[in-house]
Amino acid sequence: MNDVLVIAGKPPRYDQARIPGLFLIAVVALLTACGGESKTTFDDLGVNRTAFNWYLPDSAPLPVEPEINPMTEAKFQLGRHLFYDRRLSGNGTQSCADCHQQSIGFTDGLAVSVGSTGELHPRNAQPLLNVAYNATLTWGNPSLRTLEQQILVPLFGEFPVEQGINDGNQEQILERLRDESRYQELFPDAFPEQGDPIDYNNIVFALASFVRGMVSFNSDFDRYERGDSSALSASAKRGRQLFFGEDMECFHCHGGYNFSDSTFDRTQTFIERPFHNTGLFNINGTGAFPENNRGVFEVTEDPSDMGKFRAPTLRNIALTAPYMHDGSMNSLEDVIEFYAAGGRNIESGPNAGDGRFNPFKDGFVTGFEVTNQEKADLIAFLNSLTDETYLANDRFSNPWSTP
Amino acid sequence: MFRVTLATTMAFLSTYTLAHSDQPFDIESHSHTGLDSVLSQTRISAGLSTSYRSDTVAENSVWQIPGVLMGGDAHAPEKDFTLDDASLMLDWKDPDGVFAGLEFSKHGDHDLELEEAYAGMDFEVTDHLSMEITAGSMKGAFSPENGTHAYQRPFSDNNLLFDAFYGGHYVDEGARLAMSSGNLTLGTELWRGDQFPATSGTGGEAQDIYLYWLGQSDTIWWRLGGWIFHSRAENRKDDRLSDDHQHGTTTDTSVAAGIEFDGSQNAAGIHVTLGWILQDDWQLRLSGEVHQVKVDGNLTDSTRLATLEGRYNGYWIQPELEFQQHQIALRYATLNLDNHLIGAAGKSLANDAGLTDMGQNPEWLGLSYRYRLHENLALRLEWIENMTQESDKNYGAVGVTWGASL
Repeated sequence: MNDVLVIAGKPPRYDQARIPGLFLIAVVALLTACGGESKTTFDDLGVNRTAFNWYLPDSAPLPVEPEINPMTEAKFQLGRHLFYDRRLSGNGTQSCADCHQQSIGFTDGLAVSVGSTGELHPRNAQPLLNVAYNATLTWGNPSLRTLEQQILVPLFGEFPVEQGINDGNQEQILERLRDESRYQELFPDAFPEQGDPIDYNNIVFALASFVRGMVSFNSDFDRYERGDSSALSASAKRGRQLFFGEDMECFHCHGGYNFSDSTFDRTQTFIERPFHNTGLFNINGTGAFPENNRGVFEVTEDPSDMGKFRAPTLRNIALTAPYMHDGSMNSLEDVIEFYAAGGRNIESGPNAGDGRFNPFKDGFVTGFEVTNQEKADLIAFLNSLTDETYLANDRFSNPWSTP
Repeated sequence: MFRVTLATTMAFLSTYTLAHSDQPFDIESHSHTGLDSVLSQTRISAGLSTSYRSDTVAENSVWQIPGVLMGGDAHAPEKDFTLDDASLMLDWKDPDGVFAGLEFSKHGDHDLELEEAYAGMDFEVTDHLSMEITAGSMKGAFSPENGTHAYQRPFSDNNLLFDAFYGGHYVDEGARLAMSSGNLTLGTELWRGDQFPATSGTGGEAQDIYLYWLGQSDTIWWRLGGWIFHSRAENRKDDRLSDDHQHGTTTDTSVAAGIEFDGSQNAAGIHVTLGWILQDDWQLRLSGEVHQVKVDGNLTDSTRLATLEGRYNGYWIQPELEFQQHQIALRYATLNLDNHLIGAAGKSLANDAGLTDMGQNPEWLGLSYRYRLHENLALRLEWIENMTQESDKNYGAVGVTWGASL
């Protein structure tokens, strides 16, 4: 059973017998030197410095602030006013908030959005929350990586027209803003070192600051993750297990603290900007998506990018129907059934084709078995991602509704 | 007579500082040939330990001591009947000093594996200096504690320090050169570096050097020594997390499974065992170790990077008292784990990798009583206070140990 050891050699001299005792004393001295409590300390190299109160819980990392447009409360408040101001459109009829309404998670409830001139946008309005964490900012353009770049699109874009600002009306719009007494204080407060701060660069910077500051981490799910085990119902807890399980694979594209794999914050050194083809279309079996809505392919013209879109956050997802980039699914149940089938089979019409066999489809969209109870559990979990406090937060509400 | 008693006393200590081949063989010059000769030079031994514990330390998750990157075979005790370990060892040695050994082991839920398979030879260099060369898959000999089995030691739980710093125990493929002169043994081991805390592949490496002194005087005997262990890991993941993991956000073992460590671990330790032969069959032993570990490297995942500077120390101390069939032992082990992370992702990576401290030093306290039912069979009762998680776990264990030369 035990190893038997025979000590070889001559017996030690008497004075050698003192050595173990001395050794023991030395060991005891070493043990006493092992004092103090364990601690973990950090040096973030100043990366987490900010002059802006983000109102974030400790568990959430800080978003990146661009060096050219650091966050300030004054810019945030100016941006909030501009966001809700219909005068910031060519014909004075549409504000950003018309397509991004606070009560429904800053979306518009439409399949596809409508611009100020009535033109239909080809895509569904994305919810505005935690946009500051997005590694890219639209459904399918990998080159739009900052809000300062992206906001130019709805303001000045022509295909389609959204706010409808163009060479012919842009000076007129600035005059409208200059006539507003609030702006006469808000612009100088936001850009104090500029003589005439009411210009489009500052408008873009202020809007970007407001949208960047719209953060949400107070859903039932967040409270559960912070230790409140009663925050989720039993059904939602089961749904959570399904969502983060390997059978349904949901978390691979909608994982992480912002429920999107295209997430970026100050802790990150390497940035991933993935886009996914989920098998919504496969026109004539060629893998094609409908014209004018082909995802990343429209930018890169790389055939392998056909139908690839950014995985949006699932926060507040219960409020933001209809779903998908084209708003083609009306309910979360429809979405779950779509993923369970591993794609969409369109049997007739101009878009006919079996998306389940789209050659460019993402490897994680393989389909799965799901029972009615599991669907209900998944939906209960998705409902737990709604942050009610965000929908009623005065910081993000319409400032023009109060005098 | 005294020498026999002393040898018997020491027999209850695991002596993996010297490999199986160091165990004395009765190699009297019989006139065996062929298979008979081989068989006469082969010793087979086996042992097992099984226990029932009243509680589980790491419920629904892989064991993570807050403050240290873990891996290898480190696993937490679980409530239930468990096979702590079982092993079958074959040692062969011929009169010319050539030897070989095999050990088949099963630890907990792991499959039966060939844990050791080595060969070597020993020879006299001079009248006062002998040398032993061993190569193959072996347990590290740098500490006697590294090679113990649950049926050999007072406790069914593994040693906290070896779980924290060596993945339970260090077993790897490599070569050992040990020189002995009188009661001193100096050895060095060069490993492939395939096992935690090193990594397989070109970037992993491990080496150690150790020195031990075995001595005795009147009714006292001792083993004193120490070691230095260096390892290097490249893109090391905690492979304990790779199977059956759960995905989430803040409690996400999949996130932890994706974190890699790239850097070095330099460790040093001191081992002490003292034994006293008291009156009327009473024997007292005191053993313990002090470990210091320095970890330097980078933690990364797919998007984040931080530099880790870990400065750890810990010790375990174990007094044992034996009287006839009764053995009682107390063990206390503690860790002091200081980490400093540099970089924007330091805090989030520390959180995900389990490096955030829990505000106190991890500790482990155990009391064991063994009653020898038979020469090879013992009943073991244990009480453990496991303070390695934020909530302490107290549990009892009852089990049997068996070990014999077959």
